[in-house]
Amino acid sequence: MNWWRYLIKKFTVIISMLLILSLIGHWIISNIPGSNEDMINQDQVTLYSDSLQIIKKPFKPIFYWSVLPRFTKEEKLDPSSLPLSGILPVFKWNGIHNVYHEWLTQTSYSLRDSKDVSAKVFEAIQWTLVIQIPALILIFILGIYLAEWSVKSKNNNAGIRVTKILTAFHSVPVFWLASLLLIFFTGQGFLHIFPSSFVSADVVSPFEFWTTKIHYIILPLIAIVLPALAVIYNLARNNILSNMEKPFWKRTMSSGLSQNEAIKQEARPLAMIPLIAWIASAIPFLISGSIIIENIFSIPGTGRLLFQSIGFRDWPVVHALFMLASFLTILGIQIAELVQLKLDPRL
Amino acid sequence: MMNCKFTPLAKSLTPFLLFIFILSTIEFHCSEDKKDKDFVLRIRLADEPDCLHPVVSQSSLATQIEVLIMPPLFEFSPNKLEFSPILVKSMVDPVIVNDSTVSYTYELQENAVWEDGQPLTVDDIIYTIKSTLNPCIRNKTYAGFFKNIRDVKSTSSNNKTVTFLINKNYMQGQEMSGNYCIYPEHIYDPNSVLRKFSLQDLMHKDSANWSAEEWNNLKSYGSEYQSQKFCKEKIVGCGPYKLLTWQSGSKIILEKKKNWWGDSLVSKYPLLISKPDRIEYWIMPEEASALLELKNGNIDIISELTPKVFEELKDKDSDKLNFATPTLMQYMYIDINHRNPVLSNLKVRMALSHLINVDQFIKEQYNGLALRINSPVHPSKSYYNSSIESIKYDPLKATQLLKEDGWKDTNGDGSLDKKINGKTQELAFRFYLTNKETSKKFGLLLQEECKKVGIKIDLIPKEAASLMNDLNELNFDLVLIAQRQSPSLWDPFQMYSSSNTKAGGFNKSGYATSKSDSIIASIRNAGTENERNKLYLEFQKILHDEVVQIYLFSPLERIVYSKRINLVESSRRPGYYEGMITRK
Repeated sequence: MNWWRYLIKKFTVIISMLLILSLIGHWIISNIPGSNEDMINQDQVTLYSDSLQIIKKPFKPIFYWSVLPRFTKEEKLDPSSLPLSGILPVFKWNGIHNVYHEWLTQTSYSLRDSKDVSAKVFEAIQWTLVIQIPALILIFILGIYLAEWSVKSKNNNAGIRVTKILTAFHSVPVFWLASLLLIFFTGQGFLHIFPSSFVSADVVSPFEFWTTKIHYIILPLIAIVLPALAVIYNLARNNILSNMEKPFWKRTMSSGLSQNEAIKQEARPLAMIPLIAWIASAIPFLISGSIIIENIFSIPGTGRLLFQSIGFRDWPVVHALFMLASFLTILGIQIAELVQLKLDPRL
Repeated sequence: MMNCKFTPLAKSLTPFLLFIFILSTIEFHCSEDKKDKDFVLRIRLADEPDCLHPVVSQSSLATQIEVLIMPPLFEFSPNKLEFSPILVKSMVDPVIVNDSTVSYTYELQENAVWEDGQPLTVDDIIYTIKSTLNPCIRNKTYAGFFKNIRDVKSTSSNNKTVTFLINKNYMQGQEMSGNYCIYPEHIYDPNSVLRKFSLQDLMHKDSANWSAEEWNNLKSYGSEYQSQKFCKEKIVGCGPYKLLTWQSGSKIILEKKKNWWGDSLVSKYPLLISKPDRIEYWIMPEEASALLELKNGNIDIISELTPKVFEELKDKDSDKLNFATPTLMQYMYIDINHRNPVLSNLKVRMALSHLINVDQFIKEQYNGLALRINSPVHPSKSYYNSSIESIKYDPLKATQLLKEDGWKDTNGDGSLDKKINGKTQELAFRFYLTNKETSKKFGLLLQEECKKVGIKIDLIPKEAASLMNDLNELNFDLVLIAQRQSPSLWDPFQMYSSSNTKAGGFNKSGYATSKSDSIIASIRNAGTENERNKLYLEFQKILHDEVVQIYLFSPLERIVYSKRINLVESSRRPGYYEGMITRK
């Protein structure tokens, strides 16, 4: 019974958060200067001079109601001389002919190529996931592995050295690291081991990369994993070390387990708990965080789609990606909470 | 001791390194397989085109691909700025019908057929024009372009001769008689929906005058016409290439049609030449990775390189790569808002123009890859006024001019001022520019030079779309603009006539006199080429003497291509013509 209540509560939170976020999205988009039409005109003005008509779109309210100031700028009235009702803003009902209602009820199409937005996003997200999911898993496994290794090694210097190296990678700009990887491993001057872009692989479906063309993925993977490792490594290392100082650790060690086994059985699960929250916060990066990597390696994923769509003022696509990112973040946080509850009885 | 500590890490890395080694051999095999008999041309695109639907498309990158699939009746030839026939047998001169109308009559190529073997007829041309005039489509640019057409009709029994009746006063009449992509009617309109509407109605009827049924027909046809199907999937034309595949986000592949009708005519019609068997457009936004692919031999052509990278490559890799710098139909200038009372003063404008060191800017920012210009006409055109002398960089002259006009620093704040109508006016301007790196550098250069003589410049870098907004509302003093030019005849009406000075119009500077208006009118109505060219020269002289705008330079295109191909340069975008490229 309690579980049901809990789930229903979470569900309503998710839905209401999404509705609020989508409204904010519409509000921001409607307030950004420049529309898709401006972009068309800019390009064609000079080609067909003498011909351009500037078409202003009819104004459409954003939401079911709007709150407007009572006076326009021209009317200069002294508010102190008016009764209270004269100062309060006007409440106006707009009916269902508003941007928000249409967005909720109708399919939206990309302004750029009239493609169904959901199809477009779906197409792009496959490419992103093909790289980002393995990257996330790698970051997680490698991070914890390195953390445990540095804790176990009796020579303290080794741990510090790894921390230094990883922090160095973390502070290097991603585009620089990716360009270096490209120059060193794909060009003719150095090691010509990897292909430099996804375009040269003749693949139709992104999943082919995990069957026959795996070498195309390695460089982007390295470029994503290396800078991100430091975060997980440090989190996991500090967690394990702090757990080792707690009283239960002495009990575990005195029960006759070797240090390796003790870490595996006791410290690792406890260190995982805060890391789960990190995964939840990493989910939006699945969608937007890879803009640079996708541009450099010519991967047609969501990061590049977002970048292109903003450039073209293709708001339906931008809004869809924005909503997808917020949905996944909210969902991630909720799931992380559930998993943490399950793992850690103290919460 | 140290070695021991690292052993577990090294152990786990060994399989990984082995794995990389094995993969490297796979890649080696892949690149070996690519050699084959067909001539495959690979071109880098900096961005993905939105669609290959000439009327719907918003992306300038699409044009270069569209003309290969659905060519126009005629097109500018790559090396000269004149039309050369493609789907018509020959170019014709206009015939004067009456005071206000001229006619162009073309014979279509007899062999020309669509991809499915159906012949090209006049109906297809009429359909093309009608479809763009549909009031229910998004892009209204073409509709505006076509409004000077009076009529289009078939004038022979076999439906292969077309006559265009066009407004005589319109300068780009010839362009309008067929310099646009032609669509096959039987594919884009299989139910002949648009045959129910006459050309005249589509052209002149207001949206309020259509009956409900007609309007619904147009609307549903318009939405199908602009749908995904015709934008990306079903792209059919009578050109030498057909769309083989479009791998979203990565590649667009065109394939040469087998036994194409134009192959037998190439000796007579140079624009029908189509050498590559296959053209692949690789979508690679990142310049550095595209360059790597070029060096690895995977890509053949990259255009629009950054000037700095271009020069570096030229120094380092000239033994492996070829370079081309055709002129671009584009120029940079500073538009001046003459509505500002200070800027309406000729001496102030002249002083400003003497403060810009254009040559140094070209040298530093474009590595010399730009042409200095003195008028809005492209220097490659015959009527470019080459007798005009460039305005020299001369701060002393500028100071002197300002002094003559009565500007002095009376309040000692470092900038000049003057009493205008009893009010002290500081010599300060808002300079709008896009937030591109080169624009900003230009802005800083001008700001510094102006500061030395006592003019205060506020730099306002803006994102392109919001800059457009400010321009349309005429909310600027000075603005740096990059303007595209057309290869066809220059029509100064749009940018310099007094009828376009209102907000939203194209005469942003607001400069218009009765003299300039009358010259523009006579340019548009000139009977002969000689007469018109004389007027062109005169008009350019006025623009220069009055410092209406400050003309800076026209950048050169920067193309790098592999040694395995021969490239034919062209001043039209993108700087080359794919069909004429051959293998060495």
